Amino acid sequence: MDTFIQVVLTGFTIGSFYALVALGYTMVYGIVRLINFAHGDLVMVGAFFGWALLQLDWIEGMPMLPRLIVAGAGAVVGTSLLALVLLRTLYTRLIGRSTLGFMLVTLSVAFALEEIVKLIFGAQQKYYPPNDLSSETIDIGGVAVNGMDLVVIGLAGTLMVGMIWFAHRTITGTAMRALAVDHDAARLMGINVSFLIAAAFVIGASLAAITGILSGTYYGRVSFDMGFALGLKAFTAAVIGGIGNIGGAVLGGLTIGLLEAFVQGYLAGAWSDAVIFGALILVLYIRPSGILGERVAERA
Amino acid sequence: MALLSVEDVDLGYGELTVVHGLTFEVNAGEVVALLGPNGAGKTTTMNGISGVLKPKRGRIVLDGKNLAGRAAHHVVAEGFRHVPEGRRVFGTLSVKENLRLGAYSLRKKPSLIAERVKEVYDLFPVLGERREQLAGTLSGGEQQMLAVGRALVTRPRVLALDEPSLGLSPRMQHEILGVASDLASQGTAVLLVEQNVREALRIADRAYVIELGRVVLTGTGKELAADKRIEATYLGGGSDELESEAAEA
Amino acid sequence: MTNRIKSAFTDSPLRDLGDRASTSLLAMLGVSLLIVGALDLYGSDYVTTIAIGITTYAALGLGLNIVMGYAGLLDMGYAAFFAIGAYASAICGIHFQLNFFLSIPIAVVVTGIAGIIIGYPTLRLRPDYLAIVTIGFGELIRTVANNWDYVGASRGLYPLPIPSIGGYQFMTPIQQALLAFLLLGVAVVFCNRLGRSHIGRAWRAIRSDDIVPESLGLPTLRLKIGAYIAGGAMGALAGAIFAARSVAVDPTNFTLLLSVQIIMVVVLGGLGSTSGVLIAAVIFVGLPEWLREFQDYRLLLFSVAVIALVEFRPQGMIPERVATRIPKAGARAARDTEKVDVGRLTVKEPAAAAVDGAPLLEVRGVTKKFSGLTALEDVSMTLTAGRIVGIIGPNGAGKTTLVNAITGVHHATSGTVLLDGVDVTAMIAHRVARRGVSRSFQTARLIDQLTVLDNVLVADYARSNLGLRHALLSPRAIRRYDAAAAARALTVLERVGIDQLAEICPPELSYADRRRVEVARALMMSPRLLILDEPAAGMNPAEKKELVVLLRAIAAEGVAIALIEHDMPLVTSVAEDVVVLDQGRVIATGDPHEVLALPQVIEAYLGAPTALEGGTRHGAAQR
Repeated sequence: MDTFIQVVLTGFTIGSFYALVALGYTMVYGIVRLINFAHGDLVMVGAFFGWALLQLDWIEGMPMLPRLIVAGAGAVVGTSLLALVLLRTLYTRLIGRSTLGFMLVTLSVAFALEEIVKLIFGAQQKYYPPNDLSSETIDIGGVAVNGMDLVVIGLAGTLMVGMIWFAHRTITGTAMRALAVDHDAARLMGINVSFLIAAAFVIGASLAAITGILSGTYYGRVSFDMGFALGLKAFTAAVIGGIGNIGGAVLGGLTIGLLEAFVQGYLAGAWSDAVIFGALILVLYIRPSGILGERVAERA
Repeated sequence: MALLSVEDVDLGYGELTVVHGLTFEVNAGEVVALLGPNGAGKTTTMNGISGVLKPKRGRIVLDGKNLAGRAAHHVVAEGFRHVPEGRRVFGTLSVKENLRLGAYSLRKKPSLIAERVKEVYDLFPVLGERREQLAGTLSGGEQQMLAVGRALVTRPRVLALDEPSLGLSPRMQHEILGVASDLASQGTAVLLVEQNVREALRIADRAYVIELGRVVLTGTGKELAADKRIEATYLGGGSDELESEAAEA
Repeated sequence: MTNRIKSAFTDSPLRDLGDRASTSLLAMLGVSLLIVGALDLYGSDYVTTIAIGITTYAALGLGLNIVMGYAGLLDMGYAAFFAIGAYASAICGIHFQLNFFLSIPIAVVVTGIAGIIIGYPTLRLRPDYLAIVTIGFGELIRTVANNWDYVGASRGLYPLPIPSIGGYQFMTPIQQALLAFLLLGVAVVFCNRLGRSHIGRAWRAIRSDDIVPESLGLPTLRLKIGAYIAGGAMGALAGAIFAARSVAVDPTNFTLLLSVQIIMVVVLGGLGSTSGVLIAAVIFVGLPEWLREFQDYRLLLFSVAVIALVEFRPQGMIPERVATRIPKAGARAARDTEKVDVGRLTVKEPAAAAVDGAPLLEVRGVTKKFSGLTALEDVSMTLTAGRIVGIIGPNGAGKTTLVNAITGVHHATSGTVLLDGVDVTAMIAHRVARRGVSRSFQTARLIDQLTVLDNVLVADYARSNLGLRHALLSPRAIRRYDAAAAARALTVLERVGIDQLAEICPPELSYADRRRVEVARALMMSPRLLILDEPAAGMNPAEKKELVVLLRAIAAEGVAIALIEHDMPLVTSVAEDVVVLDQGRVIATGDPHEVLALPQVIEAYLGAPTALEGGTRHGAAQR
């Protein structure tokens, strides 16, 4: 029983990472209908921004929490700027023109980012400074719960709820959902479409950077190749949950996380990727629009 | 000086030019109809004014400001609202969300948005009854009301309606065009593209007939309603020439 | 498919057999021998090994080029096919002691089955889903290989039997190079033939959208799966050879990175370009060997190169050449003597209905609903061969929806559509098209990347009796057929008055000319029923007159025509009957002049007469 709860907890933690990245995917995909293969690598970029900031002398003396917050804020700003620059210089001219071109460019950007980070920081793993929470366990109902698990789930949960609130309760979020339906009609509402596309990229990049920092803190290490596979699984999560649907991304992320945790806990870790992608193919057979995806109505 | 004047505008897609040197104007409080067969360039003209399409040439002046080439959201902010053909409501969003998005340019003033949305509910009570319903589930007529309501929330100076009667029952067509007429009497300039020619000419102060991207006929609503050429364009009164020549060949 | 191959076999003269040992194939094998000879004379083992590496990338690039270049599908797990081919061949060798050359067809078949399992659910969906599913597929295959003891798990399978044929063993590097280059030579010829065939043209036509190709009789899903599997088969072949010459397979050979590298080769070379892919493979493998310092930056530089190419030169180093040439005057004259049917414009075989006067098309009580909205309600109408019926009504009345319901783009919610007595209500669009229904679209939807001639030729796909067999084995038959088809296409273009525009791409055409291309394309299918959606929109009076003449001539050949049109003079001058739709319902049918005088029709078009009197609650608004 203890293992079971432990596995569920791990599943929620991993699932939180996937869900945060899936949120960024789903927002961008919802608006531009294109897969951004470089999105997962923004997690890696965020993690390295964070790592580099944590090495700075002037924040070395601070207590852990403010130190992480400063590094996190820096990572969010840096990663967002990178996403904006990529959007403006490379992506904008392809959006709406060439699906294949967009996918090829983002794919190449993903590999270029990894290679650049490898050139700057080297191929070895980088270690985040240890923090007290990782070693501390809290006893909940007889199960020893790692403090970091709670931090990850708590923070990710807050962000997810925040995102759902943003998408449904603010006019900007509503406008983004409208963009998923009809760009030209949105223009006629006075919505600055290219600005909102940029906003979606920035939100996605910020969530990715936060995931990077969280993951570095949780696992204690980061490496140049940590992003791509994470991104792929997050996209899979978004598709399983129903692409373009904010709640779906959360649900899909948690599903993938739990699936992975259960395979690792009860079967063999090596099979987890196979199970996840097998699940994706199964979902596409049975319910191509994903768990929460609306069946897109035929139009006359 | 007219509120909106379109001066010598060329419009098209890629290398293709669909509208050639189009010139017309609309005054405040006036209904102006653009008539003509499908493919004449009416919708293209609307898109050109509203900033969805960039004009290749010419000026579009609204109250002294040249809007040609400006992005759609600037054009909305200047007071030109375009209700596109086919309604184009956001089907997966609720009626209320659709209306609030219509007021996107007022987003810094939430209370004003709420007030304006309420005005639309007063104008179209059925929308108020269905405010939480998804727009995609509304009937055609209700969707058209929503599409018009979505434009009215910013109290536009010029309201452009592209085929508002499309697919609607005669009663509904009549009602929608009646609203357009009422708005004009309250001072809004209404630019109307409409296939229901009789109804359009009834409420129109002036009309322009466009063929192959050029104005071929213009006059007051009354003049054109009596003009045989209008009927010929739509019902084929003047088909004799075509028939005889085709028969020869 | 079997049907078509069968009929192709009987219809096309067997004299094409001589084709199979064609000059292009012999030339390519000659080139392969020359390269291997040169390697033997001047190269070291090291150079030979690199050359073999190049052939692997080239073969993989050619295979992926079918998927990505010809059909425009992004396959990001192409290494999976490479892996399946390698493993299947290795299993045959190790577990069943099968000769390497016999294992190749098995590897190809296994790959094909895998391709169908992955391709079928995915290719029905948005095109970009394929990218993500194929990544998953690639990882899935690698994970299975890495964990399954039967295939040696992470250790892999080794040592594999040396490939041998009639006692000759391919063992030394130069012998392996001989094998690799000869097979690559064959692959180059086949890929080229495929790309230039009617199938290649059909693939290019499905790159941008499904609805138009379907309406032209192209089975889009089958074409996509076909491209995916054809590419997969190439990958399997490359995999088998790779396994044989490495004498071992293990999971580390088949990573996502490999899939990405092959994508880079194809994009660098030029999507759809065989020679481009070959050159890119040489650069991709050779450059890092030549410039050792380059190794560390290899992936970065190739990534940047792909970005730069997609942004500034999307056609790649060597752009694909696709335009079908206009047949020379001689060939045009020959079209009359050739046995291929090019003289008649339209009917392939007269409809049974044309003989006995029964209706060709019967629409019975068709209702179509879209998420609650009723677009068509209880619509009935009939069309007879050789007659022109006008379908009229205000915009939004449901005319296009009716056409979509007839042609299988949408399926009626209730009611039936009978074509020549056969129920086609639920039939998929390309099958309806193959039964002789062709249509034009309201907003002329042409394939921008293809010339006018090729746009029209695409519509010949369903009509031709050629199959995959011909594409691969009988290039001469394909060429001869193409020349005849192009001649016929020119006749059709001439008929609509735009044969002089044959080599131009659609973006440069005027609105009216785009419509004419659509009409020509529809005619190219030799339809029995021709549905034209506002063909006259955007035409000037002179052009409209030409259209009238053309429509009458087509009808005179026994074709039933449904004409959706707002131009009433045009309708009254050509249509024998009209059907008036309003709000999804038929409000009148009959003689055009009589129907257009009916008050309810005038009302539907011009608005209610009561409104003219102005005695309404909005009267106050009138000034």
